[in-house]
Amino acid sequence: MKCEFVRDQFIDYYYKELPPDAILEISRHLEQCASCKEHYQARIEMLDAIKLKGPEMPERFWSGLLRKIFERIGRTRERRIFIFRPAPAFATLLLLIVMIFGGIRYFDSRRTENLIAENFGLLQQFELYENLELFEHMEEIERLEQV
Amino acid sequence: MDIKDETTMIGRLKQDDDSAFRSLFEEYKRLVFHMAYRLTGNTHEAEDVVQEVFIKVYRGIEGFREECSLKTWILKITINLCRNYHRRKKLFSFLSLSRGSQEDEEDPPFEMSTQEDPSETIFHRQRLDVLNKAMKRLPRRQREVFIMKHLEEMKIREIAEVLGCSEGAVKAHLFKAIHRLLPIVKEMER
Repeated sequence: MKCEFVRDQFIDYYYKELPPDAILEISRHLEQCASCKEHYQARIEMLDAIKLKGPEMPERFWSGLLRKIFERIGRTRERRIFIFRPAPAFATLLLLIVMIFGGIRYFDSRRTENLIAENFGLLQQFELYENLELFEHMEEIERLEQV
Repeated sequence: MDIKDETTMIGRLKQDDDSAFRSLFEEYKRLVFHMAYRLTGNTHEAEDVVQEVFIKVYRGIEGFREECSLKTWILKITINLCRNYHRRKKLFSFLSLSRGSQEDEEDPPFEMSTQEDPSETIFHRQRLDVLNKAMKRLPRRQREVFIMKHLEEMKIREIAEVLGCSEGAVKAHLFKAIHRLLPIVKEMER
């Protein structure tokens, strides 16, 4: 195995990112080649020296942090009630449309009833109250009346 | 955490299970915090990043399609938030709002447990500061790869997944990072 090839593999070798047979071959080479061994040793010493653990925080730090997260999650849950959801929104819209049209029809029929009630005397006079279809020809009747 | 446990955990999280969220926090809090600390160089910022990461996980779990592991997804969120932190910091410096104060912001001393030797903690802290300063001089991608590989001991395959690049690219970044970092650390330690 050539020294240059071995040196190219040092980082993968150090992190054990090579297949087992390649690791074995490099280990053998390092045992035999003093120059490569020295080169490798210098690098791993420095790499090991900067393999530093991150800061260890006390338990109360973590519990405080989790509490803050849950507080914010709680607010998110409250807000979720008002978040747009397509299915309920569509159902509400449908209900609104039904209510509006139902309302219009209801008030329309009430208006017709009121009109009949208001003009009941007139209708009686014309003896038309039994056949309300004639009411549709009111304009024509009025025209004839004028003539 | 194996795949079966993870699938169960995801299912419970999707059902808004608080105990599952607590378990998730316990499992990943250190990894996220250390990653954020190394990328921001500041414990306060790291704390904020941890909060944001877990809030994002909570809000996004319903849409999580399990195309990658939970760990990968959480680290992706962490890295993106740290990048945003750097962008914000750069913008603030540009607008002269911070007047460079954030750049040189001192981290408060670590809280020591009663079993720790104070002199050793101070020595560790000094070395960590040297390393953080040296890492700041690395390009962003090299720094991220170095942290994940050397400090968090992740596999090359996992790093490639988190960063969305090839394993070869990860190795190249790692190689360059180490070659740039070693002389800087050596020089700073003098």
